[in-house]
Amino acid sequence: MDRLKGYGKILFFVGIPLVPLLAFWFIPMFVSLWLSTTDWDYISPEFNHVMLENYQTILTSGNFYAALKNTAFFSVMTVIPTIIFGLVFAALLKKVMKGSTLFKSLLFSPWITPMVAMSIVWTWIFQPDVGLLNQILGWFHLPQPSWLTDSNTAMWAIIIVTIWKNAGWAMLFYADALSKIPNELYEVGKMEGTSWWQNSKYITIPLVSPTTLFLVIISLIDAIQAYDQIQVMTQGGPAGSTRTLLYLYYQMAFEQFNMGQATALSTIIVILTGVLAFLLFYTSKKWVHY
Amino acid sequence: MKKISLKNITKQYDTNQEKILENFNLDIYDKEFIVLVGPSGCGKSTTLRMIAGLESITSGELSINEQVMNDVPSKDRGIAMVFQNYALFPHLTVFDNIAFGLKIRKEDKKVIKERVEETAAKLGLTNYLKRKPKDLSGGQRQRVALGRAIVRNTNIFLMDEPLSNLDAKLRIQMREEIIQLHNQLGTTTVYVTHDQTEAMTMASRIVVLKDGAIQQVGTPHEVYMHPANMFVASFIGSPTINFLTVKVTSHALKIDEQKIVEMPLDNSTPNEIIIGVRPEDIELVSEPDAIKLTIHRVEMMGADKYVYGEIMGQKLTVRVHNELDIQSKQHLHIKLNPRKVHLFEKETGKAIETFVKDTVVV
Ligand SMILES: Nc1ncnc2c1ncn2[C@@H]1O[C@H](COP(=O)(O)OP(=O)(O)OP(=O)(O)O)[C@@H](O)[C@H]1O
Ligand SMILES: [Mg+2]
Repeated sequence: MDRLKGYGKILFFVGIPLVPLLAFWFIPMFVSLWLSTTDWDYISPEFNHVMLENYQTILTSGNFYAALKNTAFFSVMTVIPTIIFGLVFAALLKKVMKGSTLFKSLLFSPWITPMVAMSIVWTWIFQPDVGLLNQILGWFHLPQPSWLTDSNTAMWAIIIVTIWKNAGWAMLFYADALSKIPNELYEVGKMEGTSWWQNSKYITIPLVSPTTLFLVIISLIDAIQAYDQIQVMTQGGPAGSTRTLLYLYYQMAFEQFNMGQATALSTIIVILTGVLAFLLFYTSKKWVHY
Repeated sequence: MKKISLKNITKQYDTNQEKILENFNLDIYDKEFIVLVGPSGCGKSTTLRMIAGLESITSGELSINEQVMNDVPSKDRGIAMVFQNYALFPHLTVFDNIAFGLKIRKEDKKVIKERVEETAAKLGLTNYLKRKPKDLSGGQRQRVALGRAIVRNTNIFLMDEPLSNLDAKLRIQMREEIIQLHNQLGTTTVYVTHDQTEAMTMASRIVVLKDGAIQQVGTPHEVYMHPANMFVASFIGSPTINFLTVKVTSHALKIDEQKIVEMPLDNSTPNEIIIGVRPEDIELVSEPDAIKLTIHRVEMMGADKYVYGEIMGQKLTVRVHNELDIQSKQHLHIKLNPRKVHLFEKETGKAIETFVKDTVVV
């Protein structure tokens, strides 16, 4: 009897938090998994079961691989600079600015500005004829690409905006991590005559590695899920040069109304994200020092 | 040979701030174990860090091995330092922690391995070389920190309160080990602590500091037997020395009209002075006309008892043997030995030299 009561209690306390998880996560996940095996068109009440045909179509289409390549390129080119700029800014903040709040808020402000609003401003900055960026490039007689309207440069433009937005956010985490490194460790270095580079390599980088892992995972997921800036600035163009997997999903679902294939793609994105996160955690044992 | 010499050293952290150290002069000789001791904030770490080159010298001259070192970078001063919080690299193994300096100095891999293993053996760390600092006990971490200093084969060690994070028992054990290491290696050592027991037990010479000024430099015996002023007298020794304000008459020192101790002093002595008497130097007597101590409180310390009380309105502590039954008593009769009484000027707190006092030769 007592034991039964015990189980009841456990069920009660575990069960209640499980309700929202079930309602908002597990159920939609299973519904979408199920949807991905149909050819529903988002509007009509009828649909057929097509089993794995959607997956087959996607995995054999050139669009998918182009988008995959774009996503990979976008992820690598945003995550790595975000991490590097974040660390460099945090180090500067510590050394030069002595923790200046003004500098901190200045760098952090892009992160609290909505991506949509920022993308609109940047669309103007990237404007080929009157945009700020090309004006400045013009003063220095540098080439002035047409940025968002050229398939060679559009992706770079999106990458610049994304780094701009995220670097300040990464800096904030690194600033905290740096402030936790005891100064004595650098003094040990000073007694032996370590160079700037040796300090970074032997002290700073290993000691902020847990923060680095956290930032890599979060900004990688953020990169795979990038949507706002693409929607506002290029809508996946020109010529599909900025069409990432998520944007491809959006176009399949809400432009082509091909709900089955879209959900199949979203499943692939989720699996891909999961595998990447797992790999990162798995390899992190080698380079993250707690 | 003068190993380290500080001449007129002054230190100011900020130009508009007060001076932390002023006109600091100290010569340290080869193979000495110098202990800088003093209350918190008196400038012990600052002094040590200036010798190490971690802190700039505002004015004055620092020489090591007779060479001016003011502007020589830390790494070229031939110094190894042990930090208070061990300052071990958490991500490196014991081996790599000890090897750090040698690696930075680009020593040969084989040499590094040899030297690290030799050092580890000296410190009993051989079985822990592959561990990370977080898997070591406090004492072992402290040994790694020592190892990192020893492995460099320098002839000067600087240590900033290296034992302050250890528990009492371990502290005594590590104290022993450090002394042994010093006897073995003969490395000139400057050791900072605020613990007078550590200073007394470890030092070949003690430097007592207060507010950035040297109060006295001397062997443990000298600072205990002949404190230069009231500060030194009260800082060294436990329980703390007693101070009594007394009147000087031709043949004796008195409180009110009661004679405290017989002591013929010359005429230059001021009328009122302060005497210092250590609790362990007070004799118990049975004559009823001796000084009467009113007992307030007794502390059992093991081998001894500390009796806290007062004579004629002035506080006095006496250390007595633990077998003495005083629990039932309200009074004790005491006697002061003129040889064991320290005299100080009332205004300045400086010691007054007397002909009565003389050193017991040990
Ligand atoms: N970086 C600094 N900037 C300004 N003032 C400092 C700095 N470091 C120390 N001080 C001041 O210098 C004085 C001496 O400090 P120091 O650290 O040398 O004392 P200490 O004797 O080692 O004390 P403790 O026993 O507490 O370690 C203190 O008043 C302290 O406030
Ligand atoms: Mg200190």
